[in-house]
Amino acid sequence: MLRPFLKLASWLGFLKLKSFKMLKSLHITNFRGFRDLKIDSLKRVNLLTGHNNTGKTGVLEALVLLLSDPESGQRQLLPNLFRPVGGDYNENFWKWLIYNKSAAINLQIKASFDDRNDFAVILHPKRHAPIDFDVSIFHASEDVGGFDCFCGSFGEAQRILGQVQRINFKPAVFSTKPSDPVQDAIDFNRVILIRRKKQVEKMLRQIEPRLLTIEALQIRQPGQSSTTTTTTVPPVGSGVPALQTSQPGQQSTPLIYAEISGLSEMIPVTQLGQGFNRLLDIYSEIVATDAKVLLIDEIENGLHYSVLPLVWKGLFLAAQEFDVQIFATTHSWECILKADEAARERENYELELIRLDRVNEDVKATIIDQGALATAKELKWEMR
Amino acid sequence: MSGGKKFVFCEGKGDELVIRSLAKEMGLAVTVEQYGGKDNLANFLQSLSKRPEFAQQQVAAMAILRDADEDSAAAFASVRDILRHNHFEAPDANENFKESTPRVGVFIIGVGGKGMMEDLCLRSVADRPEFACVDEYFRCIAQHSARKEFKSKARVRVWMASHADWEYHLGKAAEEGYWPWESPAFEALKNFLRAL
Repeated sequence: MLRPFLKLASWLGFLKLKSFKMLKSLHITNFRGFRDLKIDSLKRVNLLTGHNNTGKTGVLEALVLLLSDPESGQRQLLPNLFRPVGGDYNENFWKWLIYNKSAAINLQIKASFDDRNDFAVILHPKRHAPIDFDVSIFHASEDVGGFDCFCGSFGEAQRILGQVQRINFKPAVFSTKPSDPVQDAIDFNRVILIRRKKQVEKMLRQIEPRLLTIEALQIRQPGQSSTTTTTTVPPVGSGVPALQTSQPGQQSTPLIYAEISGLSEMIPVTQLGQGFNRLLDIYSEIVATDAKVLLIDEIENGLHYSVLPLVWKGLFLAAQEFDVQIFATTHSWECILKADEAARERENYELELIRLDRVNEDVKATIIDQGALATAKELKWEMR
Repeated sequence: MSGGKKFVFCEGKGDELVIRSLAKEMGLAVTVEQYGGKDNLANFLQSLSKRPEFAQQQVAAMAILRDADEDSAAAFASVRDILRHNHFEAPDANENFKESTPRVGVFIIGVGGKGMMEDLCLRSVADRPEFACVDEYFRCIAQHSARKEFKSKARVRVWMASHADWEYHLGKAAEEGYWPWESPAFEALKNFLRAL
């Protein structure tokens, strides 16, 4: 009985010592369409591109499985996190996480970090109908020169995984679903509650210099005063539905308003453009959840091409200011070019463009470096 | 990979248009592109493997065309070395292919081991009676002006000025059918493209 305990103690010690820095590489085996996908070079901002059905969103899903805090319930939300799944989740989603839907192979998601530590989650299909996994967690440190493994039933693994939150792996997820302004306002209250509103405002001021303040306000009926919404706030990303903040008979809903220099009254931020709103949404989420990894699927969706430079500028700012690592997917060549331009404007070029290529029955990652991207632009190559 | 894509990469836009017109005349299914000049070939090849067609192993064959300039042997050696430096196979001799995946061929363009695409195209019309007028024109200019040396690009312009009322450069002339593809001057190039 002592041996498992020692292993657990070693694991927890490792967790306490470890501080999140950055994923440097990713190795995914037998997960979705990836038999053996290696992405050897990750940077602060990683943009995934490739044809349909090459697995761009699959990489984001793998990162959720690898990094998310199990107590947040994010893993359980995975089936609908990036794309809708109809019917039986077991048949239509969970079983398909395993390459070729095979019951006989394990799937592994492993990352290396810039502090030379590795971290991996291995799922062993235990029962196929309904699907049930044993989960193993691996960590490796060159200092100790080996692996520790914790295996057990799903429940036991969950309990162990529960400690992972100490190392701040939390990913914040943005999918193609349009944001809800009311829910955004409720979420923004969490930013206010943890007294980081000024930080968000400072960031947004670099995008919109005329911005003075931002408030989440609930405008009541004529004759009633407006007020900031300080009602109970659900945990962001918890899957808890939006609060019913209006009283019976009232039509008010909370919205985020901005005070803009030169305007006589505060304006709903929904009127400030897609780029501003997307960045406010992202900044608030990062701040409210203390996320260290930002996952954005089909980043260009819902955005006019003209706001892409603004959004990319804002994302690079966020990566630096909040110390987050960004993984985004895109189908858009224009989006890639704007990301490249934003990266070039910064002191260090921190963009990694990764294209997923289907080669025979497998998917391979091709890193398109700065030089290749410049050649592609000059000669008008198709590189998506 | 006999069914894969085939690429011909040329130095510049003019060469690209010439090769594209010739390939069309020959009924070849090849993609012809330029690499932006011989000084850009290294950058070009460094990036080429990142293109989807190459990364996805869809390419059956590729050919690099370059002007001979002063020395076709030196031009070939340069292309061969740049290919190898960028992890591509390279043939052992000019106008040949390396049987690799993809197959890689090199063709150095010129006449008598020197020159460029313009020289090759002019060679194809050199036996026309009016070609003597082009030579005579430059002799006359040299006699009555300070300019004594004329590049083949200038000869192409004069040749085309004698055949069309508007300005046709090398590539446009090819597109408009002013170069006789049946000329023996193009035979080696056609053989090379057939072998692609």
